[in-house]
Amino acid sequence: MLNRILLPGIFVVLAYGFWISPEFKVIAAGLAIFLFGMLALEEGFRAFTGGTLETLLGKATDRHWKSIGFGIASTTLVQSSSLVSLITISFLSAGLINLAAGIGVIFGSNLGTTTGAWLVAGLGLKVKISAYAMPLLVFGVLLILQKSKLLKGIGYGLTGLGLLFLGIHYMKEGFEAFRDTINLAEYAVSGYAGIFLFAFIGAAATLILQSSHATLVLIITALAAHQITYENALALAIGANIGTTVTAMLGAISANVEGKRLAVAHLVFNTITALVAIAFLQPLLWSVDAISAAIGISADDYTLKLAVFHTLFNLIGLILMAPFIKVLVGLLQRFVIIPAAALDQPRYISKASSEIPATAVQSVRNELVHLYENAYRLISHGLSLHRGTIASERDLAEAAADTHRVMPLDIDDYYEHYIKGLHSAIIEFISKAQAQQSSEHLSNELYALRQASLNIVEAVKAMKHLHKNLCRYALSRDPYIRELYNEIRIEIATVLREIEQIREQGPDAETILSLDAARLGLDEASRKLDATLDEFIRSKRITAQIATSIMNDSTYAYTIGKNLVDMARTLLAAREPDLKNAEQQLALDETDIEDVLREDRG
Amino acid sequence: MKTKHLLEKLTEFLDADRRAQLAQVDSIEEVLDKLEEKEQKLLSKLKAEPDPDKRERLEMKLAVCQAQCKKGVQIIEELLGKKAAPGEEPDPD
Repeated sequence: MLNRILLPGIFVVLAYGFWISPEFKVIAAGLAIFLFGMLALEEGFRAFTGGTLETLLGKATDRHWKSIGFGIASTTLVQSSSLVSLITISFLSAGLINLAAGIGVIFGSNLGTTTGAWLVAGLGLKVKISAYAMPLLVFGVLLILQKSKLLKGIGYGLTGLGLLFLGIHYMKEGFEAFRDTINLAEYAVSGYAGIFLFAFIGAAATLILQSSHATLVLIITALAAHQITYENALALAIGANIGTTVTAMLGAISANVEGKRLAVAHLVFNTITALVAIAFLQPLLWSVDAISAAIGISADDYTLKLAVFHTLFNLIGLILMAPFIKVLVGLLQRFVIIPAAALDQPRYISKASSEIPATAVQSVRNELVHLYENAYRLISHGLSLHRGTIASERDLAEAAADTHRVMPLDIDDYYEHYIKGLHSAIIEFISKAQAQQSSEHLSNELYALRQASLNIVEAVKAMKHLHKNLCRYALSRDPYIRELYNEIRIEIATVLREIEQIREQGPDAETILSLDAARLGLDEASRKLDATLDEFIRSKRITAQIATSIMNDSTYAYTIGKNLVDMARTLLAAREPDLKNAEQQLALDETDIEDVLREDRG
Repeated sequence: MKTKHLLEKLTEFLDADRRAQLAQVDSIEEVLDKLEEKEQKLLSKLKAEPDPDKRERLEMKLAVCQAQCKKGVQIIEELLGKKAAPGEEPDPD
């Protein structure tokens, strides 16, 4: 509901902003490019999962000191802690590193970023990352167009990096007007009020400029021009450290929960470091003076002293926080979670019910029905058929032929929100309940229910694979391709209909036995589809290429049907043990089904 | 039905105590009654169905139902025939 109002609202505000301010348009486009870059970068890293990159990253981050060192080195190299944070979030989202290693890298990058202040203050140099954007994009896109998965992955990585640079560049360009209007000298304030005020300004400026580097350049130039006091400059540097975490926060919008946790860890680290620096500002200043004197920095070279300060307070933060990485991981895992409302929650299984054997089994059974209903919704929508149609008496062939649009369905998102969490909760509950069961019968029941839960997930996963081609071909203009895909849709919908009919009949009907017909129907439908496919290939009505796609999809359809039937055998079986046993004895096995098929064909 | 499978069922039946055995037979008979009822329904539906595709589907369901009934009767006959208590007649169903 909120999305329905919020999204159009954002569109209206953006459109109005674009109309009245060209700078705003550039900033917003920069942000969009930046976020798209994040997605491309993640896509690129995914191509390397399951291979050398994990080994390499794993080895580079398997100890806290190593991950911290990796953070320091990489940030020194690319001269942007924001970029390193974003890349780390991508690594984490793609599952290449764990949260503790990610936190180590982020902590290290905070120290690595201080080298920038040395470069600006000492050498007046700065690596301009935006200059790399164009060649990165050109090379990246060329590589994306290659067939090799490895080259594609590199291409996505480079394009993502290029887009990140370009996005930051556009955001900076757009904020040029803001930078011109920020006159730091106007805000010179002394004492703690001044420190807090300037820390806030530093954070705000970094937020606007999307780079703590840019803010540091401002601070150093303003300090060199005596626009601001040394004390205020220090406070600005502290604030910039907090502001830079917003970039990571923005990057975490498109990341998974682990990525979000890392962004929060970044914020926690920088905020604590900033608070410590503010609280112990005076002793810090004495230390800066002492270190500066020791390494030969003159007492009035405030720009270099600022670099010393920047390094020192980040180093203190690192020393203070590094021993607590494990604690931080625990806290983040506990408190930063996907909002409960966004995930479908278990309704029947609870801690209490796992301790009472009979309730445990019944709770799991009810929860599985809940899971099945979610899967039923996903599969029917994936087939672009309404559940009402499937449950009705309407001819399915007619309903399939009558489809005029593919139902919109974000199957991955639906799986994450309505299937995965629930399935995990069921598996966890069964494991706990089984540990407390002394009865073999109940333990077997729970085992069978666990298998049923797996059957549902297997069916959903097969649907995920099938859905891609269903979206492409279910409404194909080629009548033969459409006919074949309609057969696949009907095959699955028929199984769903059988299950719904059995559910409607209630526990008194010969439930499991009706499923034999469903299973036989599935075998028949699959055989018929293969026959039609062969005929179409022979008569050259479809190409061999599309035929192989349909063959794969036919296998997915069969997997969906078989898993649903297997699930229903457990879930819809008679409750009364003797009756259930009798039904199981009468149920047809593979040989019996073969016999019936043979007689049917004969 | 394969002999090996039937033998397995028979062993299982012989191992159970008398009361449980009878309960098992009763349960199978109960299911058979339901199947018979289902068979009648399917037959009447088949009579009234003109659509060849739907008829084919109904015929398949009927074949499955009949195969299950046959299997059930066979199990009861085999089990009771071998282990019928003295003076107790096997159920004609």
